[in-house]
Amino acid sequence: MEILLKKQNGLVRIVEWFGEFGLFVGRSLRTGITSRYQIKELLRQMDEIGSKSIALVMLTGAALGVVMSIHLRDSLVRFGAEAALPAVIVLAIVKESGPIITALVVSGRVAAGIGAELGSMKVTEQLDAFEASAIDPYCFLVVPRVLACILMLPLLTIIADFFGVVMGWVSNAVVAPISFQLFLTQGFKSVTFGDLIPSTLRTTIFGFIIGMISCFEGMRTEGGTEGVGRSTKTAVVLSALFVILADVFLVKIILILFE
Amino acid sequence: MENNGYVIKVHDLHRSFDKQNVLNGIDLKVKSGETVAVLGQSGTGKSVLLKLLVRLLEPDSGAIWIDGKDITKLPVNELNEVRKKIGFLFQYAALYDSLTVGENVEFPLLWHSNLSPSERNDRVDELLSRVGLKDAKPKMPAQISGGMKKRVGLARALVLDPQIILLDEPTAGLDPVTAAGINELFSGLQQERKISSIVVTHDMHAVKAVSNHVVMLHEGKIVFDGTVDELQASQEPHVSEFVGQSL
Repeated sequence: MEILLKKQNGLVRIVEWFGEFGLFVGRSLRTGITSRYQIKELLRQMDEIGSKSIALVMLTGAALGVVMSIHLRDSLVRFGAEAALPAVIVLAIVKESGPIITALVVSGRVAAGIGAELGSMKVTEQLDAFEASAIDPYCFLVVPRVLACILMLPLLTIIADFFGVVMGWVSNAVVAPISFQLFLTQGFKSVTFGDLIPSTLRTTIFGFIIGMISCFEGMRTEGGTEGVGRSTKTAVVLSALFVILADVFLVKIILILFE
Repeated sequence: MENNGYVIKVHDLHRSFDKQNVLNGIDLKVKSGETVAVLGQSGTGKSVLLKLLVRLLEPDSGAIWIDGKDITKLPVNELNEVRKKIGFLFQYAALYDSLTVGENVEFPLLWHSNLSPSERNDRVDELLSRVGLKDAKPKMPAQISGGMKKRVGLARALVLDPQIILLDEPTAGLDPVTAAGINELFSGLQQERKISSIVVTHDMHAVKAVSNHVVMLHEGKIVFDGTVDELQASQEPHVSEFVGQSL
């Protein structure tokens, strides 16, 4: 009986979470449409979320390129399809690995940052101070952060893709020397608009998910510093989880619409 | 505009958290230009009362009239018009971490005034000078002491020239000298601007220094309502125990 009650409470909490999150997204979208934009805050968040993630994304993209090159070479050699290596590396990075790995890496960094920052603001009554001064915290805190995530994710993905392709070539060239120009020509020969643009632009949706979940978890923090830790952890876990789930649907939609 | 000379009227206010009645039928009136001190032990709902007055929390039942309007029934846009007339000093000042001291004070002006940048700058300088912190203008909140934060919070609460100011424990956690400085500063501002205010405090020195009307909360109800002299002479057990322990 006790186990059944616990399960029921867990289910109620999940339903409540989705309900509250839906209301939060609705209010954020309404604020985003009707309020004036905080350009200075938006630029600050673009720097925080975008510029300061560049090094991380470059390294991740580079590592991805090397790993892909090593693995794919081994597999393709077995089938005598070594010549297809540049095209396979480019397609694999541009279509799937680059966007999803970038989103996951950025979600870890950004969700932790936003969750902790807004959580601290909540427990130190800074969010109350906004409301008491008749200032909408959604307008100053949520909209710029979500918008910065939406705008910066595709740019970071392009950076990760670029370094992935370059390091894929370097790794490949060590074993079988090939010029960078030839590698790119062979690599992008079979890449179409339908491969490149939708895959990169779908990261705007990842950015929306990361921004919304992080802000939501930060702003509902309760219970002092322990609560801040809890909401930060939840923001990171849920952002990554929902990015992966969204990817499943987005890949299918892109295949239907652009293939 | 005022409601029979009262700028704040609270009637039969109830608020509970998880079945615990924190406020259990509060009635309170604040006249124009009056400073009311709200006393009581920790957990008696003093801060909750202040938050209800600007609807940071929603009441379970009861009415709150600010400047003649029942704010419990107002939509958010009208509520915000009322909030602009109220300055709020939070217990730990609640300064925005990412903004400098000057930007913290300027922030409400950016949203609610049509002043030019130089006019805003002059207004911020004037208020920071008034609280003795003009030199701290470029500093971040993390670089200043607790007492300085309270003074910056007071400057921010005053920046829109409010009719009402609400202070949540303005001297809590400060040394006696700094606390006396805050009381003196608030008392001076009070005489200068004739603002109506509610001060939540445990500090009897603050009560004597700034207030002309005192109420005491106990178990969600007002157990004393009178002047400072009447408070000190009160034979009500909770009141006399509190006053005796505080002095």
